[in-house]
Amino acid sequence: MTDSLDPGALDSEDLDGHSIDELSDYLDSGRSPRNPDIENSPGCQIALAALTRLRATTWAMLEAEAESDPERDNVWITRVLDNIKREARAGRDIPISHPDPTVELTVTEGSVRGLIRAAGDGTGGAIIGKCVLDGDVTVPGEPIEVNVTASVAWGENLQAIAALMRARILDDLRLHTELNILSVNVMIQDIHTRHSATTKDVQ
Amino acid sequence: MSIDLDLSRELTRLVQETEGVTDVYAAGSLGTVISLSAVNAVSDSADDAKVAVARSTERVDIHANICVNSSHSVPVTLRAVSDVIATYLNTVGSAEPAFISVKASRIE
Repeated sequence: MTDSLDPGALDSEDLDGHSIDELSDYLDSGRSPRNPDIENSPGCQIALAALTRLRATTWAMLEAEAESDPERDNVWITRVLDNIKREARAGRDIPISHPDPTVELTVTEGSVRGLIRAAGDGTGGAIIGKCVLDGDVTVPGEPIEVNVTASVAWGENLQAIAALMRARILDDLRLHTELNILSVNVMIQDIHTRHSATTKDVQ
Repeated sequence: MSIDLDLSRELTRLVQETEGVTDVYAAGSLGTVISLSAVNAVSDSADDAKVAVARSTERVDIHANICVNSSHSVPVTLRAVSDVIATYLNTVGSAEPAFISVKASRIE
């Protein structure tokens, strides 16, 4: 990975006491020596998973573009990393029903955003840019809109990718939450060119 | 060693073994448990006591913070965890009524 894509250029806001550049360095070190503070933080784990996917499957593509158009892609990558950091935070508590009033079950907004990002990133050639749950997720039954932005590989059928992404996100939300999903809106914001990752690219 | 630290350890073990749970994180008010144990036994480690136990005169609050495997439904897993906790509390005959809170902080 080249210095031009160094996430250390991001602001220094913490994520459970850690910043994205610390987490990126931790990944660079192969997560060794083990940092219990990071390993025991759900937010850090969500961010690490997103960073790992970004690096393993897409970073090389974006990096290749950055060489030809560094201004545009550095801005885009910085935005993605910034969004990963922001979205990995716990956020609001989303209720899960239970018949016993002395039992309270919740899933964090951060974990649901991580789920959505994982579903979207897994849709061939696409990278989720931003993920937002619009609506009051803390109130059961409230209509919720899921809005995601994405970057898609050049040559892909955009409508097909967006439809597949919507379906995967909706399936995961139905399995893991009781949210009343009004719609899943996918906005393709960017097209990136294809580049086959080499061993060197992803190191 | 405090009773609550023992309880936390046992609940942590039971929650960790629940189907669909891949990790148990230290719950927010665990400091209560740790400080209680520190008074009673300075040498005790609370690393394996991640489920928070907080008592008042009226009730005992139990809070578990977990990671759920994405191949398992989060609602089903959360209910299973709360059932495991409630069953254990009934088994040991907790004197106070319990309030159980279970949160999924990560889905992997």
